[in-house]
Amino acid sequence: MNQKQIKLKIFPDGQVQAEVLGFKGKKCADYISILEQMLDAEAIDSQWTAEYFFEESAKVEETGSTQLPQTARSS
Amino acid sequence: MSVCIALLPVALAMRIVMGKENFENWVKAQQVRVPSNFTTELDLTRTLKKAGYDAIKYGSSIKTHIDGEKSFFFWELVDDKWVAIFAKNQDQAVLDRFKSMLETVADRRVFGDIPPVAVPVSAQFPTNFHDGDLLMKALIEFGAKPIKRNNGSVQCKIETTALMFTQMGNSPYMVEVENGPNMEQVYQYMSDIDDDYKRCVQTAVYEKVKARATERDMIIESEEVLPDKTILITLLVS
Repeated sequence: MNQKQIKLKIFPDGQVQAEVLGFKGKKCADYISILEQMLDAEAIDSQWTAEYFFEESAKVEETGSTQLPQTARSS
Repeated sequence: MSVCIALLPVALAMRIVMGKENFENWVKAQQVRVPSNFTTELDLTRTLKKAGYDAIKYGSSIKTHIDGEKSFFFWELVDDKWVAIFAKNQDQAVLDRFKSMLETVADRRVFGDIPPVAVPVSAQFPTNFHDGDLLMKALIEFGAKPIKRNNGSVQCKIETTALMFTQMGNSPYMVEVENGPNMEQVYQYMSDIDDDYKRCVQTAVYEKVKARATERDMIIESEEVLPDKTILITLLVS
């Protein structure tokens, strides 16, 4: 059974990378706004990871990633 | 299923301190270019070395220390003549001594008149700083003893250099630098403060995660500091 996890990397330059793991369906995208509020931050980029493609469609032999519909904003 | 998100704390404006291009324009404005009558690199470097100065190749330029390790200038070949590019705030006495030594060794007049250059550096720059409290913290860590004014501006002094940070509305702070010792040093101050500020942002984000995780039904499973000082936190979501 997949554990629901968020791996947060807080870099020395203050920027943050979050990986939201183990959620069913596209619920993990909800965590974009949750993390924005929690960290007082703005999402500037978000991508489904390779794992998403693997689960989403067995037909796709995708190993890369693609852009999510942007809630993201550049400051 | 998983998603990867890049987040920028609102305390951090997404730009490089000063902006390289602005800085380079500013540097040019702080320079005095003095043509010499050296036409060959060999003549220039030989004369410099005989006069007790160094001549270090820097691409197509030559770097010469003029007053110990910290103070230097560059020579550039322009229209077949080597041009000395001094900082405007270079100590005039040091320049005069350099000119005299060089001309004694060369046994001829090398430069025309060097215009007076001892002008303290003053300028205004944009910064990455959005959050006044974190800015105060960063300046305290830097050892600058900042004072926050009633109008929200932050003032401090580093050695002889006065810094005044002001914020218009919700824009990032601008900094006004007065009486800087030289442009390299001012840039170094700003870069160091920028690094300290970012470290403060990193700490602030970490503390927010610690404080707010439970409110969001999250448990901190593990945390570690990686060799590059990145903080890695794994949260379990229930």
